[in-house]
Amino acid sequence: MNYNISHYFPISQLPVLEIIIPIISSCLCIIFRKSSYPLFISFISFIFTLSISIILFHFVKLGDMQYFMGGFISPIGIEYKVDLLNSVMLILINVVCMMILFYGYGTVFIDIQKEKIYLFYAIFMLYVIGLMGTVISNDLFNIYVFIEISSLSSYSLTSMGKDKRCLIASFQYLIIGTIASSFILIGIGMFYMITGTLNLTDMSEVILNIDNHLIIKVGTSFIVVGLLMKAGFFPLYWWIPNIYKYAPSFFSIILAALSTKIPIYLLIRFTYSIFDTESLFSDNDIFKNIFIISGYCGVIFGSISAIYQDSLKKIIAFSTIAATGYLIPMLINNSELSDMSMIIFIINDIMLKAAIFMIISYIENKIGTDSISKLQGLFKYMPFSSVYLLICLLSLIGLPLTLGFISKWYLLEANLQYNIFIMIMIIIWSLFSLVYTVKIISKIFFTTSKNNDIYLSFLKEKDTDVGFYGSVQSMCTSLSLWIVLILSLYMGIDKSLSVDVARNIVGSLNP
Amino acid sequence: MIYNLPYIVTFIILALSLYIIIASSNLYKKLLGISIFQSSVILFFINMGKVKDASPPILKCYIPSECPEIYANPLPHVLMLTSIVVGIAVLAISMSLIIRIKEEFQTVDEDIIVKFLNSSSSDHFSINTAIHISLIKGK
Repeated sequence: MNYNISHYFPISQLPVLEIIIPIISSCLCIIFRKSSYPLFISFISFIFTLSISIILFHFVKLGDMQYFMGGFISPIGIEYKVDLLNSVMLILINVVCMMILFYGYGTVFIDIQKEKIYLFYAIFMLYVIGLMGTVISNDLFNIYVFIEISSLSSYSLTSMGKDKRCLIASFQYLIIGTIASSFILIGIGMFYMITGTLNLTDMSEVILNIDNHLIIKVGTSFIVVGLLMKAGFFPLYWWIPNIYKYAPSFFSIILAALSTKIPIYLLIRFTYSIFDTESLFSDNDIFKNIFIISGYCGVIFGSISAIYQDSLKKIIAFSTIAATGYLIPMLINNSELSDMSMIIFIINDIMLKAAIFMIISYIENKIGTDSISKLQGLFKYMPFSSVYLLICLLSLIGLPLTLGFISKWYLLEANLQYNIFIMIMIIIWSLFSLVYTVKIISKIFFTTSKNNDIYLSFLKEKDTDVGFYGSVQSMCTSLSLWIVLILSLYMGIDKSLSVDVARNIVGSLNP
Repeated sequence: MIYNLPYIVTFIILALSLYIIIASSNLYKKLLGISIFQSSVILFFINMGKVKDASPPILKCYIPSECPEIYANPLPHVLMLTSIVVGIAVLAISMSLIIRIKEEFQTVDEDIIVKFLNSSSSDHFSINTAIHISLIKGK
């Protein structure tokens, strides 16, 4: 019996509703621009998209869901396809956005003038639409269009920060991002030239019969270089710390959590459908060595730069660069275990970076700066925030019973079997990250100085820390911090949320 | 070789535009480099659409025996319409960014601005003195 409920009316339209509902509500945000209408409109639309992504995750177990735009069937028209990998990414994007909306209710007015808040919410929704469209689309050129939508929105959002230097950071981001997107477009053109189709599933079948391997290699190189530039791989990573620090705090959370993970997701997606990994990664030794050497340089430069930084956000940014440095060479391994560990790492890292940036932005909004030298003795005035930051930093190192430990365990196990150089990279990174973590923890918990007591003592008068008191805005902010903390603690103890999901994803990608 | 000439010209323009982006210190000139770069990508796709001895892809005849046999490929041209619109949006955002940079820093030269970005203090007084000192010193 061929009865599958996901072919019938309400459920079959869900993949496209995921994109259309935020588009309509971002237009509504501009129309209804009074006091807190934009926030409620975006909140309602994110409730819709979150519930749609959970429903899609449930129905995907019956089989992949396809939606053909305008009714034109697959190689001729544009197709949206939801399979297990897509639906997990959609749930993650929507959960992080909901938490950020809660967090932002109390803090968006710190960075942005009251008259412009509706514009901020409208462009923020466009950014999330770009991310979701990249994940859900099955057509190469459509993926490029959604990459451009999210990139252009993030250039505008980054330039709305408090510090004047956000403008330069945004311009640097624009130059690098535009060059990267154009490289991706040239690669897409080369693939279209040789196969004649733009659909990912159709192209993966056609490419098996192609004889001319040179143009496939050149096209692959263009797409890979473009995606690595967007992810922050070794030579072109210098724009990342600037935008993490100077972007408005509301936006820097989602920038840190998702902007470098979506290109890595695209690399995994392309590796499974159109890249010819057997010839690319096995007999061409130069390609493999370039990846590993660049990864090493990324880890070493990123970690050493992180040790000498004064600003907490830049330390986490360099730590992200180092993590990208050891994560991307794992594509060379070409095995199921390493792909599973990459997906576990992506899931855990999204939650972890969201938690870290939320608490750092919270502390920065209360104190006024995020430099480490001003954090001395923070434990006396904001005990809950200090313990929150401690848990997140320990998770970054990889202490057992935290999120980071699970991802690091599987990464080390996968690389032990296939590529011992990457395992050494991860161990070097852990040792370096210990250095700056101990530095931060000792400043917060174990030092007090007279100058800082005067500097921080205003906090005690205002009774400011994460808790349930005060206005609705600050309660919403505190609620979001609590939810993210509970989620990350739970995912650290019960590993089935990330490990079993990753195992099922890799099983569905390798039939 | 002669049939590859359009592609060779396209990639020469691409390399030149990358050099313009990297080597110029004025932000407006970087923008010109980006515009030329996107034009070279558009050229690449248009070259792809040409088929030898093909007629334009316009359906003017309805009797199958008299119709031309080969049509040129219209799909890359349509994709490039989208790409041109994306290029216009990038130009618009970057120009408004440059106007804001000029308002805040009184200069559009990248060397001076990056020197300021790498300085560690962030209060207003030292911002203006750093820029004035570097302007007075020349360059």
